[in-house]
Amino acid sequence: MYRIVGADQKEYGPVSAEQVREWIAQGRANAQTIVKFEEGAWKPLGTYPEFANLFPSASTFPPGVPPPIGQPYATPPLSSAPAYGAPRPYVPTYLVWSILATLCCCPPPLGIVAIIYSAQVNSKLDRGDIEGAQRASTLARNWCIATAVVALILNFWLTGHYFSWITANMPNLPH
Amino acid sequence: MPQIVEQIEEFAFGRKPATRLFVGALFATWILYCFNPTEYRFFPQCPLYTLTGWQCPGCGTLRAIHALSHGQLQAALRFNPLLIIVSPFIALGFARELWLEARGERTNWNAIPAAAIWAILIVLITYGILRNLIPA
Ligand SMILES: [Zn+2]
Repeated sequence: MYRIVGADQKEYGPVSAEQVREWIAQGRANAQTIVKFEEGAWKPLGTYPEFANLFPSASTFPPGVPPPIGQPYATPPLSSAPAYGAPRPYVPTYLVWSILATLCCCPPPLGIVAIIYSAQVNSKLDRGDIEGAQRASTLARNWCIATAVVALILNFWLTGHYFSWITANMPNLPH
Repeated sequence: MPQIVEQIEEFAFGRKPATRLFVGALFATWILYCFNPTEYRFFPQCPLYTLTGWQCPGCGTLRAIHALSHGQLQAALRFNPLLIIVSPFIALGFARELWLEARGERTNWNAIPAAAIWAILIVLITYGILRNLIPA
């Protein structure tokens, strides 16, 4: 199944190869539309050999033949710019999770690092640095997970600590 | 190992994250309604507060939600003022995201200016510092 990013920056799918072919035929997707197959990377549609023969451009290549240097994938002429061509893929920011990590899972510095990477996802996308944005996205996710793990470990350790603190400081508390 | 990470990612950040988060939040609110975090010991403790005595931006969240679920707005405001002040906006954003998700769409988080994310970070840090300087 394929996932596809529209000109509205929204992610569509998963859809079948049949559906992708239909969208190409309708001019809603072209060689530069950003597409992801299963768990693969986000790549322009023109780099997928199974659709290469559907693009009318002369610069499409039969499978197995490497494209000439400087032409990594098929480029349709500017005049046939598609209605739904996508300039950039969707890169998750994990912003909500980063904020939750900062609030719910002390120590705060770990969650703050996640928020900083979250911000970098969008600033790098704005500069057109898609690879950098994807790297920042992975880091934001990893820092969220790390914060949750550290918070969990600290809490298991603190629970014991906290019990003795309560019994020492609040003797009147109901047991 | 990477497979486990991917499975965790799919569960936490996967296809309908807001719906999953909403179910979790409802359950947590119900627990907090039934049990007062100041009286029961099974609630998570804030490591920063327990170790240093400083309140983090999230400190008092559980007590505030418990107070709010019993209609005690003033007590809730004392436990975590920022949370209570922004909670209507959080609720609206949550409702919008659930509505979008039900229709197979979602918020385009990439459209949020990076400056806005930096602003959120600065607000959180400033609040975390101020609440320790100003005695409630
Ligand atoms: Zn705290």
